[in-house]
Amino acid sequence: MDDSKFCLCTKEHTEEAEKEYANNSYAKEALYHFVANKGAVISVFVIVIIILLAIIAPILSPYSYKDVQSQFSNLPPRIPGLEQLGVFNGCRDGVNVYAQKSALNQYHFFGTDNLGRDIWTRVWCGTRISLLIAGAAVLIDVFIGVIYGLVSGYFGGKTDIIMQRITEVLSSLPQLVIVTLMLVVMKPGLTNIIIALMITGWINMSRIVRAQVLKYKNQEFVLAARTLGVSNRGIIFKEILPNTLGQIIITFMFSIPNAIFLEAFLAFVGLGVPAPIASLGSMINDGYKSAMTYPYMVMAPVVVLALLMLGFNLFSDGLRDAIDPQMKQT
Amino acid sequence: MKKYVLKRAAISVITVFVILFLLFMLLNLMPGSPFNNQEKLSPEQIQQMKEFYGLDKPVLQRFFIYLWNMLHGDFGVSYNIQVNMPISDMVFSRLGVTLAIGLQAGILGTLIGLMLGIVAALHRRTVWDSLTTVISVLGVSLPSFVFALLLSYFLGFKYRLFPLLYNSAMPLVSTVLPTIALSMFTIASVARYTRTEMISVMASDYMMLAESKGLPRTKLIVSHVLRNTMISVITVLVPLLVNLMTGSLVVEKAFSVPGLGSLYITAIQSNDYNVVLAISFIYSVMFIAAMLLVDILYGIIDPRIRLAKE
Amino acid sequence: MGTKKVLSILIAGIMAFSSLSGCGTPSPSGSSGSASGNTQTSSAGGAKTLNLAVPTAVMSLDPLIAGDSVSMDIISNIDEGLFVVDADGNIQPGLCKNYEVSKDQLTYTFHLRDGITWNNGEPVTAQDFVYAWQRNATATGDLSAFQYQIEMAAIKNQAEVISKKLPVDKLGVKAPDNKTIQLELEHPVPFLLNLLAFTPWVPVNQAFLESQGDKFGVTKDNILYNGPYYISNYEVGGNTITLTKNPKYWDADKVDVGTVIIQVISDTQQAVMSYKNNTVDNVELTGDLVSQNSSDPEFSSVLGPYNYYLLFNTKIAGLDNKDFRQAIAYAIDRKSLCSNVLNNGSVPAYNMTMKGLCSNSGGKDFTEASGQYFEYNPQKAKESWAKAKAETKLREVTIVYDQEKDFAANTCTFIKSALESTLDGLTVNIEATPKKNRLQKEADHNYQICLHAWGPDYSDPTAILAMYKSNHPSNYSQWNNKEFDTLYDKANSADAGNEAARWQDLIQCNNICTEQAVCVPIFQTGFAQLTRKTVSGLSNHLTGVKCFYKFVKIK
Repeated sequence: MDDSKFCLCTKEHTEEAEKEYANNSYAKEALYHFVANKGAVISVFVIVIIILLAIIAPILSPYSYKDVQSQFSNLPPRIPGLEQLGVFNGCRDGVNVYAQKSALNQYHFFGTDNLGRDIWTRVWCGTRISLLIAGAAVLIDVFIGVIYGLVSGYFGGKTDIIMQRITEVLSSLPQLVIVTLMLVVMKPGLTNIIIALMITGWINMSRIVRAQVLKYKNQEFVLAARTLGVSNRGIIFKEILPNTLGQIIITFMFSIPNAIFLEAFLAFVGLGVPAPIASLGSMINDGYKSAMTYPYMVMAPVVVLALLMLGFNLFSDGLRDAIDPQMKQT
Repeated sequence: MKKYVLKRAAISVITVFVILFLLFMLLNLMPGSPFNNQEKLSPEQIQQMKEFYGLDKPVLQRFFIYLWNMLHGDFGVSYNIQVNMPISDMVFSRLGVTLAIGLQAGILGTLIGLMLGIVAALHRRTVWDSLTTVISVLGVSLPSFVFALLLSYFLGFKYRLFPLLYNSAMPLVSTVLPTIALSMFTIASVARYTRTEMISVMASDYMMLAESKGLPRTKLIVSHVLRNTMISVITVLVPLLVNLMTGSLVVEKAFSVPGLGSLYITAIQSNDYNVVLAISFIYSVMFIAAMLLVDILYGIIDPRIRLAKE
Repeated sequence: MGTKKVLSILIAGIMAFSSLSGCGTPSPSGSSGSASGNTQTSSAGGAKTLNLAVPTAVMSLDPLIAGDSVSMDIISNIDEGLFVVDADGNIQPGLCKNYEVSKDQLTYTFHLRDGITWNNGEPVTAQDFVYAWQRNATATGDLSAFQYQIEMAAIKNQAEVISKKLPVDKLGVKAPDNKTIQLELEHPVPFLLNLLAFTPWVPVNQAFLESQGDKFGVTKDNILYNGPYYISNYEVGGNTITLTKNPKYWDADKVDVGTVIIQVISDTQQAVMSYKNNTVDNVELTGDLVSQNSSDPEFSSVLGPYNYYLLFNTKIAGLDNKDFRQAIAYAIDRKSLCSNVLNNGSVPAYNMTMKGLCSNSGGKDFTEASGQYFEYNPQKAKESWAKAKAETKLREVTIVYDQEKDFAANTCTFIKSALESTLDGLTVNIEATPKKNRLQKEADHNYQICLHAWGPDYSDPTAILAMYKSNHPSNYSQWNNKEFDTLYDKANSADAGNEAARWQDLIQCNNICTEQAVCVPIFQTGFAQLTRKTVSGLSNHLTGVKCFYKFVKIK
């Protein structure tokens, strides 16, 4: 081995070592690791900006997501300020369509769709709906999955065997098949899409929680609690659950982009939210049909969807590395 | 090992039947009627048709009739997509192309993903690494129909490198574009996963030991890093399989591929019960078989798993 | 430029109908039209190939099952009936050499050509026709979708045979010998030859059908051919069907195109790209692609066959109110809908029938001759709404539409916005559902308003108006009106032989049900397409079979 691989120990090294072993709280340490991850920090900004826009943009916009102005249909994007630079100036093939349709007093940042509805407003309303569907479905998943996993793992024995068989069968049904069939049976609507998404979504969560419970339930602190006469419920919720929180949060964050994707897919197959409500998926589906004629109609929701997915993926990655460096996969 | 495989296989078979039952019951709830030209039929004519196809019997009885016929290779006939065509003919003639595209996309995606991941891990913080990050982030963030549209527009339409639509006269060339569109997600997730996994393997204690023993770098990477990385890459294959399935529905629609996915969408929209049931069932069987395979493969590669599961 | 094309096609259609009604008048054993007018023949036709794109796959090759236009077109090109329709819409003889009509227009005698055979070598006989028609009259279940054709043709004893009160041999169709078919009618049917050119009337070989059992028409090997083409390639799971010229066809010399390759392309954008790539020679345009391509020299646009309208369930409290329905009718700006939203060649509809459906011998279009109602008028809408508000309690309605069609969603969103902004206090919900579910809701009368489309199967107003008769099975609106029923029955009995009187009766029928706003007509579909300059005669008939490929020529 050559000498170049070694160097003298300096003050810098000792400080680093001390910092590493400093007695920091778990949360503080996780935060430190998270902030050190550039991608994760950027992703937080992306997500926050998108959520803020989803809340604020439709309120500030002079148009509503369902305002039909058929005389102003298919207008290209036009943004004040940028139009002087020759981009987003409302021109198609060199002709200012806004002037043509005598709509020069209007600014549609992302243009308008076939019905003359403002795409900027619709995209942000759609983001709201997509986030709502994904968020609600995943929250319910967490609720069911955590309880199922806790009970199954903690009680063990026959309870566990039966409960595990049930999850095994359910997880053998491809989520795609189940979700599509559920929506064919029920009417596609906001609630029904959420129900269909959560029906198989909780299984993954329950597995992870169960594995965690199995890991903790024979440890000393649980034994101590039991000896002191704490009830099963107390042990499950007060002793074991707090220890599994990290894993639950990570799984939760990873499920959100999945749910958003699945919702977009459903819209593509024609099982999306009912008109005139928009979701990112249904807007992409509508815009896709005009992609060759008016590409901006599909571009706006695709870009927002991609940013959102990107944000959630990077965020979950960062969170996982920060909370539980050992965990490599959900 | 043999016991483990047998046990897993037995559970899978039981699961298949439970699933068939669940699917049958679910489809029984489907609204609307499966017949064509409904606006031109009188209620009596619809009743006659229900009797003809045995749809007037109780649902449990129908299930066992269906199960019995199915075990004899008879999945019933199509009600309205290709009227009276045996579903086994319809489905199996389409299974090939769907499987081909799925397998090609799976293999291509895994290979390219592995390559990108390895290169990125070995040359961290270089152009290669950034490129891989960009590809993997885009691949998981963009829906496959966006890739499908881009590919068909540029490679199929503008530069005419590949056929725009599936052409059964040249099956291999026709599947190039669908395969690429479908493999993007696999490439992205395998690359991302391989990179993280390899970096963590290279930072592990046994690598330090091997390095200090003075093993040459090439050997080190091939026999230690790659092998250990491969083991854990297998675990991400199951979720990828699921994605290949959903992806194939979309991609088949976009390239007019006469596969199972496009038939499935048509069947759902036209209430052709038997076709929906058969394809849902086949999807489930493929999915279960793939999971079984991964489980067994995993058991062979990593003895710890096998022992823990027995 | 587009309108000129529309006009020319319309005029062609009108001429077609006038020539047809000309045949209806007693003429001594004249063959209808002449087949000799066809121009240059190409003996080496095998080299010419026509590539077509269709949106859906073939449903069935059984002429009684095939309900979709793709299957019907293919069947009519491989199995020829008594008559065919040429590219200009004129009725031309098919397997029928000539025919006679009795003075009272109640008995038709058709004579078959010589040398017409099935592909298994058997001759096509008059019995094959009689069997096919009897099969339709006695069909049950799946096969009965076209039974109403027998009803419309008013073949003697049809009602009794269909309801099984009389045995099938009492149906008024006989084959006195192998080459002659005798058809007896209950009342004169001016559009009979037009019906006979439609798919359910093609001959079927009884022995072959019985040898096939349930498999008849399932694949290309389960059917016999006698027409200008046969199916040379049709994979069960494939997306291509190839038709090849039938050398044994009686008029084979005149068939110009040797091979027709039909590709299933469900996505219109893909179809257009294939067209521009020279993979297909003709493509139907929808949505935005229409306006994008409208300046292309190969672009053409004609009126399509469907009228879209709001169908009301008139038995529901509130919707039984005429003012309520009229308020809705006046509040919709159809012109803006067609030019700004649909933008695909659709035109506003102001009564129940569609333009180009049929015309009288004077060349007048039925739909244009009928009254035009409910031009957009927010003032009148508000007046009717004020009256309706006083008379009914209904303030919230749901419109159901088909989720399969994206323009249906746009149309309903437009209507919702128009109604809610004009009719103060009305809430409109819109609900997408698969087409099958909508039809089920209509059949169960479990709906308030549906966006409904209806296309005629033959060129006569009764193809549309029949649905508003009080006892008609397709009268989903449950509307009934004595005056309408009387006029309708009169048109088909007392006035059936008198063209002018029948015309007036039916116009009045149309006016009554439009004025009552039983349904609110919204628009008539457009049919825009790109066709290669070298291809001519690729027709797209409003009714019946869209195109007989034997009339297509390629330069």
